[in-house]
Amino acid sequence: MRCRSLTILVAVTLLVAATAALSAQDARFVTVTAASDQASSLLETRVSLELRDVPLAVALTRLQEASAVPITFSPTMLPRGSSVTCSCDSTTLAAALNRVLRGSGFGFLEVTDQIVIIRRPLDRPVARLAGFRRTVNGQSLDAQNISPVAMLGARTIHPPRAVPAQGQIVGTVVHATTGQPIPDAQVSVTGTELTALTGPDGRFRLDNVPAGTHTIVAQLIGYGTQRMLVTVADGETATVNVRLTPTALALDEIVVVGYGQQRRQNLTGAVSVVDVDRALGSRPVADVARGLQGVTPGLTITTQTGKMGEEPSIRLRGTIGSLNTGSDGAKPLILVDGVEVESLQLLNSEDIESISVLKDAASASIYGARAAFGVVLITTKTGQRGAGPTFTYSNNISYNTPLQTFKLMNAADQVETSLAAVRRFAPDQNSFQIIGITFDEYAQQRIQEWEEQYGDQRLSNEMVYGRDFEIRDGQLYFFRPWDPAEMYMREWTPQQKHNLNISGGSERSSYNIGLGFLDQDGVLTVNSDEYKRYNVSLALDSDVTDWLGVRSRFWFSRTNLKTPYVFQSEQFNQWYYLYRWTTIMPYGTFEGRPFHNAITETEQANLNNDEETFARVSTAGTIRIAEGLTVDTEYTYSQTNDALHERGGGVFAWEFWGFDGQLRYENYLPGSHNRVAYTSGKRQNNTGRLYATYRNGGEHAFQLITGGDLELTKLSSHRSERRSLLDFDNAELSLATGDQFVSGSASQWSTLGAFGRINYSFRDKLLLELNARYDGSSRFPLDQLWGFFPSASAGYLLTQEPFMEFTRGFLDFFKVRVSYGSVGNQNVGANRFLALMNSGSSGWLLPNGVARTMSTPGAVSPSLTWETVTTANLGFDATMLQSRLGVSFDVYRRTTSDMISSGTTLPASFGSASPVRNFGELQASGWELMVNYNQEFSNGLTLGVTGSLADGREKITKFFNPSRNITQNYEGMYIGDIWGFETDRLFQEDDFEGVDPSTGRWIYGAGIANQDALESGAFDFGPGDIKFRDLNGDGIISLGDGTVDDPGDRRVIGNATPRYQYGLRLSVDWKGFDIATYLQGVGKRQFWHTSKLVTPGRDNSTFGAAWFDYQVDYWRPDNTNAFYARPTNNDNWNYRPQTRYSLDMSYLRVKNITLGYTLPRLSYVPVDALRLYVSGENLFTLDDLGNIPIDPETGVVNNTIGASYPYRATLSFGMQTTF
Amino acid sequence: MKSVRYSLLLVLAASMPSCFTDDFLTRPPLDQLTDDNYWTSESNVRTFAYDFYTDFFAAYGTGYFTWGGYFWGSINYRSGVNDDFAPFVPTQYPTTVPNTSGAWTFTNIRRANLMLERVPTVPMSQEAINHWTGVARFFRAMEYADKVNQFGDFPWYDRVLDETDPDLYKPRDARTVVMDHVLEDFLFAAENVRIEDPLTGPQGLVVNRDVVLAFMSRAFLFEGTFLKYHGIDQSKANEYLEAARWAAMQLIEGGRYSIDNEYRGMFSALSLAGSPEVIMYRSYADGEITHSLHTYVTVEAQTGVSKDLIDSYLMSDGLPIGVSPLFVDDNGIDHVMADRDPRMAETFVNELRLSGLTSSYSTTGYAVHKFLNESIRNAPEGTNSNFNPTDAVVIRYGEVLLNYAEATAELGMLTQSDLDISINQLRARAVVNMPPLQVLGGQPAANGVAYDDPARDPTVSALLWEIRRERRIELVMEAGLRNEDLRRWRKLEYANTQNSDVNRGAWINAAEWPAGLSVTIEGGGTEGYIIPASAAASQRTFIDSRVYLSPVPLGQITLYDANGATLTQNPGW
Repeated sequence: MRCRSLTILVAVTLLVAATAALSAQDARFVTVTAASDQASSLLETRVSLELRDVPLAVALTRLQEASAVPITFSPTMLPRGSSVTCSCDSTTLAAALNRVLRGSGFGFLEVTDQIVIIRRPLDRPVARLAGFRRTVNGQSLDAQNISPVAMLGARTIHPPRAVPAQGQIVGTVVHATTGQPIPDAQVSVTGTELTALTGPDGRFRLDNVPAGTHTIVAQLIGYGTQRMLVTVADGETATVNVRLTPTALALDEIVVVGYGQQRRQNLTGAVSVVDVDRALGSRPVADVARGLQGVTPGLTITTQTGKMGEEPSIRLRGTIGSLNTGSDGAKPLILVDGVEVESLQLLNSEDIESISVLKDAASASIYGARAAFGVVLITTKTGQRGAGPTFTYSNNISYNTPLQTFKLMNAADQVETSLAAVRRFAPDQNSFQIIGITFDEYAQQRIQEWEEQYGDQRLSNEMVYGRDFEIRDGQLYFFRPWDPAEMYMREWTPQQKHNLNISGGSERSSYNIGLGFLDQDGVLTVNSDEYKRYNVSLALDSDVTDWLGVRSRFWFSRTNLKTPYVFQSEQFNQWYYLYRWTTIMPYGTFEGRPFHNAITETEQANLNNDEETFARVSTAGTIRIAEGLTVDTEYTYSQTNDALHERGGGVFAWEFWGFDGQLRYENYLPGSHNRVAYTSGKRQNNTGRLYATYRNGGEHAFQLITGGDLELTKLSSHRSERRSLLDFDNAELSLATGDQFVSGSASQWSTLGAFGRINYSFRDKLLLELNARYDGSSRFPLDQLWGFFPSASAGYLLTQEPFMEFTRGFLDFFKVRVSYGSVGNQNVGANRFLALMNSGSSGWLLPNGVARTMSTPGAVSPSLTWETVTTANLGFDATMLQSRLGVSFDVYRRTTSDMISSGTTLPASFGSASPVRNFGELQASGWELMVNYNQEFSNGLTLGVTGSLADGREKITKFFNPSRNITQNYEGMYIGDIWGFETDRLFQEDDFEGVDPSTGRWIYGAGIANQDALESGAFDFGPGDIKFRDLNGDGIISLGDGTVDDPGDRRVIGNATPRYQYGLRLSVDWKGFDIATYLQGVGKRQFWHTSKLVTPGRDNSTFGAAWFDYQVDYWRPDNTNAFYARPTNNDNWNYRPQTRYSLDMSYLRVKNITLGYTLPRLSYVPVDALRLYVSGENLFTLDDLGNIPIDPETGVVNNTIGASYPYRATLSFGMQTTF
Repeated sequence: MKSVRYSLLLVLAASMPSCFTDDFLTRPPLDQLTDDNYWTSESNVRTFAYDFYTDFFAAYGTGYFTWGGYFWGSINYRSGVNDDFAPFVPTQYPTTVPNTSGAWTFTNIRRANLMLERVPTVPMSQEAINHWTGVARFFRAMEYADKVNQFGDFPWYDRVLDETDPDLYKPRDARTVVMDHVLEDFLFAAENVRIEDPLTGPQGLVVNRDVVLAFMSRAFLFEGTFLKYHGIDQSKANEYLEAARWAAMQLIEGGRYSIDNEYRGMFSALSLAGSPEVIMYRSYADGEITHSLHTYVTVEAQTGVSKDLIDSYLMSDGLPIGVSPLFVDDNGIDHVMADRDPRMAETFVNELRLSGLTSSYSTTGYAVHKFLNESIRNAPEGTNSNFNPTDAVVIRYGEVLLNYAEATAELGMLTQSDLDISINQLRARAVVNMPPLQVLGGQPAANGVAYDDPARDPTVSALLWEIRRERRIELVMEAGLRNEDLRRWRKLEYANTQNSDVNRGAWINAAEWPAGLSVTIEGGGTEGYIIPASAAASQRTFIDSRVYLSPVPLGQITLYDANGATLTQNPGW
């Protein structure tokens, strides 16, 4: 059944292809196909001419005459004063144009029957423009699909031709709102080579127009293209008046969308386009994802730490998308040249041609099951045909410095604080030991003395017995404070990026070669970590015959991360240990030998080597069956190999942990670290596609795509470990003699789909798009393999309508978009419909190793099926103020229905988690705003502002939790909600009547709400502890029954979802100088975490773990107005989730400031373009975290926040050159 | 050329539908099995069974746990209340009913029932089916005994429930009903589980008939005495005590175990393979499975034992300190340890480790020797957080003998010969060599002298008092048993700390110690007993007998209510 309907779809595809092929003989196509039949490209036309020091405009005119190919250009926009020399002897037009245009800032483009000279960005090579003709899918663009951005207005001289019956068209082109004549507009007659340019009075004249009815097209950059029907009689003159409506520049872009391209003006879905050069150019960011942060509204990019090579998390419209997406969350499908990439780390940003973000179902659905949460479409650069080689080299040299380090509490204060915590439960205790170090009054006094005597001296790191430490009465004391962060982290670390791009092409082929290298050094002072990336990309395009084009892509990437082996417990890392203890933790040496500490361990560690190799090859072909009809086939294979070499060993140091009277110099680590391990992972992906595209222009323009795709991914991993190294420095399997361990995993999944799309456009005014996709996924049971997901979108260009006349002068362009549709979500976890038994370690050791065992098969629901993600999107695009201001706005609601979740709560007696079913529903809703403003002043100064702002929230709209218990999901819950108490203040002595002598507990005074319900064990709320607010006014602070209806005195005190995310780019260009700044931030976000950086003592299960300098502000009888509560050890009571210690993670960060200068072109320098710049990254941050030095972008790692790899600020300089 | 073009199209078109098959989308898991294809061999059943082990035989556990996780039994979710330990902050009794509880779980019950249902379908001999059925029933019995121990009445299930089963909301079955089933399970297991199963693994590391019998004696001693002292059902109490006695007797008569000459060796050995006394143990090895207990004994601070425990050690003449002429006083560790039951020196070091003077201090000064392995005393694996490799006793013959003696005594059947085959075997251990416990005219006696400990709880008979003392001393710090003993005897008030020996440590004279000393001395002077929990708010008092049973989690009660069923709460909660 399923298979049959798929076959039908395929049959339909073929039928369409066949029909179109037959109709190719139809008269409608004759004029157009004639051109393509005689020569595959106008650019291949041979020209011979000699030019010496003539202005560019003249040169182009000569070329046109010599080649008899219409060349369209706008003389007013060409650089004045520059002169061109060119001698051609039967060279191709392309080569001649390349020679003439070199360094002019202009490129060219072949459009059906003419060559258009267009402006290109300074730092882009000529080759970049070639992509317009040979698109990703090999569809050549006809004039109608080329944006007027390309048509700079033109003056064309036509070779005279004798035609029997012909007349004349004359007329004016005026501004639609002002009625002012528009000069330099291009007016052409479709189906002919007739083109004219308006004069200063807006008048034009077209001679020798064949008699009959024609469509004339009037266009000019900055205005919407107008089409009109004109009937010309033999020997007569027809008069036409054309009104052009201005449009914003941004609307004229060619946008890459699923399986094709569209003019932005014609988009009906919610699609954002990233200005690649602005977002990624000349920024010292290591990877694409970090560069995209804040650029596209709705796209949330976050990082957990500043660690190098760490994969940023990418989310589109929301955080989780579904309760079942796991660590992926609402991650969009990321496609590079049409095929998914696992990691954007692998991609060299210099290889990128364009990035589009497809946000709603209607735009993304053509990609099917894996695109439930949108698609990020990235295309890479290709070469230009007929262009000589262009070399582009750019580099970036930068220096990074850690953004924040923590200052530990002064050691003497720390002793007092820890003792205060100890005495809470042992009032007479006046000393304590931690990992062998004694803290008492003596220690406190000696620490103070040390500070007074040596605090301002620069002592060597060698510790002196008696001065810096002492063994007294069998106990170990340390007196000398250290700053572990300063010792561990370098102030500045270098980073470099180099990129070389070579592109060009012959008459029928083009090539593009990209080479990239990134080298980052980590912050560690000793045994520094490092990250390297090598990229090679290759793109080849060729027309094998006049009907067959082939394309091939090769992409290779290798990343190499070296980090010191981590000896301390695997659950934490060296960052945790660095900030775990007090400042007197001995980081110096004694007798030249180090002590047991995190720095020593890093110093003596071998470097682990993590190498990821990614290779991808793809081949594709486009068969042009007839004008407007193509069939494309693509196949891509990618493989990722990850190889991790862990190189353990041992650490020799003075061991004092658990001090028993003497320091011992030894390898203090257990045998489990004395090991070597190799881990390898392999991921293979096969992607195949076959689809047909048919397009037809005219008043009722439409495009039809239908086809199918399949994807198969196989993953496997393997790990081998062996203990007992013969030599710590040579951690290799063959050089180890002890126990051996192996493990591995394997999995696979596949998807299959058939799709169809129809785009219809009526007079470029009414736009309609219909999509349908029939999807299969291996993630579902046999009888649920398939799902059908349709979507539709429509657009209405209101400013094309006469009744919108009244807005003219202010509103130049206004389009309303609406879309609705669904996509299936298959990211629900693998094999959830099977009663799986997982193999695992039993933890029970037998003589031949730990016994394996199998988990209990879970209870499963046999009828699991797809989750459906439905998006409704409403938006508009507008340009105002003579195209200077562009605004795009979208409001959406995305509903994940049939969400797999427990449909019922079973009692514990069931003995297993309740089987899941398609029960829940999650709704994401939000809005996105994008604003552009560009103005060029008469003195040449150009000002640009680009801003994005977005907000979105996700809400559980259906979930089985009838009691609305707040520890689970419940209906009406916003994802990220934090339930907590409202902090009133700290308790003071006056709040109590005193201590009950029989129980030793404090008695609450009159009018003070009783907090006993929050106590447990021997803890008793007293002066200095947190006083919560009695929200329900019952005189008792309680947790209620833990439901929404009775949460006690708790309420939702915040939400961890980043809200009001924004990005703002300001740029000014003037006389070759450019300055730009990029600001990014989050408007609202709360976060609750009980790390010792946030809630002192909360996670210090041992006395004397680190406190930080700002935490000295705790309650004491002489500091009653403190921020922190009276110290206790392992304090669950004072640091329950509450308002006072909730982190405000909103921020505004100056992500980048760049100052560049483009050197004027000098005839004696063989360089086409050269730009030098300096750039700073993460320069300033505004946040509301008070004195807690946590980076507002940090996430939780190893169950702690803040004590992790630091974020860094970067200063850099670099160059970009083309020659 | 056109024909090439169209044939190419045709080939492409023809190849496409062939991809559109369900086969392409049928991707069964590659490294996982399912309930449908797993049950194919005895070795698979064996693999399945290992998952139960660490739940029921946790021993020292793995990874980090604070001092006492093992001693208090908190590894098994039990309360940390007893009279042996004197922490700075005594564990309090719970006061609130939790909404959820990790202990109110049926996961293992479902697993055992699933195993029971699958085992008969596995192609293997009837003997093997019986053996593995026995193993599954043993695990089910262990789980239910544990649930009854903690909650009392508990719903009994002998099958895997599906989500629509009306019995999901079954009321709690009376504890005697459950324990009758548990008894059936144990008896079946005792009959059918193999005495030895070399294929399964070395004896001592796997469930065999002796393991079943040993745990049976423990479970039914608990239940028998609990029913008796809590006045629940005297006839069932007797029946269960008989069961405990029978199980212990099987092991005694089986003759496969004997007393190990070592005492401390059983708790500190790197390998327990070959110990004649250890019925089951958990094996640990460096780099594979390790624990943290040894680190607490060597370098970490430890919760010390109370004066109450120290005072309960007999003198070497077999008499309590209140009676024996050998006892002088407890001023100083030398006095304390002089002429005592040698198990004291096996259990505690001959020095006081005091707070403020060493990081490996004890809250009471008394520090543990029992679990120390001298050979790794200073080695990384002996001192480094959770990397300790010493093996751990799961259950031993010594406990079985104590179970036998106590069950027999509770049944009123105890004779001198019962003592001679049980407690006196322990006293005859080479390193212990204490005078045997005698019965003279119903009174305890040593060396032919009857005595009555003046410190005796008057509600406990003199002979039973001695049997209980023997148990406390012999099994001190083992697997949280003391807490269970106090609960089944209904004696939690022993663990009160206010002005009690439970909150006293060693006697010291502060003047004799260095200045860093940081302890609270009773009465505030410079001489006297250490008071570990000095804050008034820290004291623990037994108030309500409801704490003998844990509260049923509120969430489950509400859920039953919402489905028209009733789940009763334990009394007092």
